[in-house]
Amino acid sequence: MIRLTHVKKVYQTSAGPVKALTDLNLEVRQGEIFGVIGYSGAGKSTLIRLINLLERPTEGRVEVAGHVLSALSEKELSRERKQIGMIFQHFNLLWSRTVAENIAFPLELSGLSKDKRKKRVEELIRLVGLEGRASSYPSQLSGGQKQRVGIARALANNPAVLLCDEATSALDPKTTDSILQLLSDINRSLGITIVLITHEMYVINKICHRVAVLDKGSIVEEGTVRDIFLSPQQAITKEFVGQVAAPLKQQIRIEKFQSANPDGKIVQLHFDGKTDQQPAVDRLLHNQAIRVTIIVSELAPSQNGFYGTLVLLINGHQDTVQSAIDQIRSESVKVEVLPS
Amino acid sequence: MNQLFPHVDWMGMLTATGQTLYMTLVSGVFTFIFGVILGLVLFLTAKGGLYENAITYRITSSFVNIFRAIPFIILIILLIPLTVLIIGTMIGASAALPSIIIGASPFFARLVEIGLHEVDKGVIEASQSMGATRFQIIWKVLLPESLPSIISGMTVTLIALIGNTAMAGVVGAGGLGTLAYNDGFEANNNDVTFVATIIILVIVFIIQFIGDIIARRVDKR
Ligand SMILES: Nc1ncnc2c1ncn2[C@@H]1O[C@H](COP(=O)(O)OP(=O)(O)OP(=O)(O)O)[C@@H](O)[C@H]1O
Ligand SMILES: [Mg+2]
Repeated sequence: MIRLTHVKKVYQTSAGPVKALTDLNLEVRQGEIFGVIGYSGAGKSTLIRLINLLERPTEGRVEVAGHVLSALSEKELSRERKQIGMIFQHFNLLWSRTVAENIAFPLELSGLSKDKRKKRVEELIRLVGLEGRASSYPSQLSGGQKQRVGIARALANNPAVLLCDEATSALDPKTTDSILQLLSDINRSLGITIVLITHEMYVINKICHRVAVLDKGSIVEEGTVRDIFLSPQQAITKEFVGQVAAPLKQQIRIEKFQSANPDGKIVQLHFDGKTDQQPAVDRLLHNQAIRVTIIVSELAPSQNGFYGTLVLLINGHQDTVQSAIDQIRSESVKVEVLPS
Repeated sequence: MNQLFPHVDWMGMLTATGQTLYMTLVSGVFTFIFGVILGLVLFLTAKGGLYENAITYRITSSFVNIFRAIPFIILIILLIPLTVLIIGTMIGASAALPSIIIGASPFFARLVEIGLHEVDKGVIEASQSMGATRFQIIWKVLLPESLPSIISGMTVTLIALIGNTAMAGVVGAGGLGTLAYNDGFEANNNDVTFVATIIILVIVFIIQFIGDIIARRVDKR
């Protein structure tokens, strides 16, 4: 869907040339959510602005949806850009227009008739959950609502690609989650390809399928979010992965086991440490009829044994697995079967 | 009334007020048009602008600076040939218009330019990302988004412009300025000068009041 080949960007400043991107190659597939993570100054904004040619590459080729944008004139670009929606950290809404008028703006640019605009705006307002706010001005909205307007506006012309430049960086964690959820829903329901840049691994983990790590103007690591989380190679990638709290990493590990073993059952055992529960564990682990893999073990010693949790993957015949679970339950271990 | 202001010819005062309003209104309209155009040219052709063009910017900017620097009373004299060419005479309210407009437009143009610079760069970029042409950006983004500044600027300009109509009155433009000078100052009728001044002040206050209301009405920031 998006292909950058040997892209280079050098800014000419009064203090001399600044190399923002050096020989960058990137491919984003149709329908995926692709994340780019990097520290401030890594060149993230430059990269995303190259995709819709807000910034012209000094060298290299930019191809989006089969069109080589880097070869187009300014006028041809205006047309192609309607295929690419963009949302921004600071929303960039027109304060002089209401919510509905802001969303209608790209439709006006495309020369849609007034009736069609009205209908499309209503659809979009519903899509982003802003019912009842159509005639509010941006200054009367919260950050999250402003970003919803930004998203509706970006989607107005049914683009094939949505670019998100730090779209949640100005929002609080809860609002961030709701916006990410909306982006994820849109990706699924509309099949739109999303490129998202951020400096927070949390965001990547939450919705991206694949991720590229950008450092000093080049991509140093790239892969599926799973792989990057579980075995980061570069030091900078490890730093980013370290940003995400341990439980989240655990969650990813569990999900990975889950998808690799669709027939297995994942259970979480809770030990209260009041009585010695070692024999129960022994019996489970040595049960010849099933195969048990320990995914997470977070146990601490107590006076009578230990307390904490074990997350296990149990493979085997459905009935045998169930009876093993019933067995350990009867030995006063709390068992939670995680939904698969 | 007639005892308090024995020398005031109220019909004459009314005519003069009408002339002043006429000069203000007509020159206001033209100043608005020229000022917005000049302001846009300055903003668009400046470095980093949508139509960046160093030569056009330099020429426009110099023109604006020069005409802003010339004192109005000298501008009137300098523009006599032009006025005679356009209006056909040097006397009367219409004859004052060219110099008033040429005097006020550069001033207003700078205010428009400042207002345009206040438009969020991010919004312009967002419009470009949506495929807006430069013309669409001017019409649908730059002008609407800077409207409160333009209106405040126009209010300030109109008030300055009334001052100029009064000054033009001294050289025979008519209006309250001529009245205050000829019938008031020269004939030593202080009451005439006083009433003319009061009327000018009232006009200024009304313009300021209306300008503030409109600016507030359009400002949704
Ligand atoms: N218009 C510009 N002119 C000159 N240099 C620029 C320009 N834009 C970006 N740069 C430089 O290019 C480099 C990359 O900037 P960029 O904005 O892409 O970084 P970023 O990863 O988006 O950072 P942040 O997280 O702070 O937004 C920086 O060194 C920056 O100073
Ligand atoms: Mg940035």
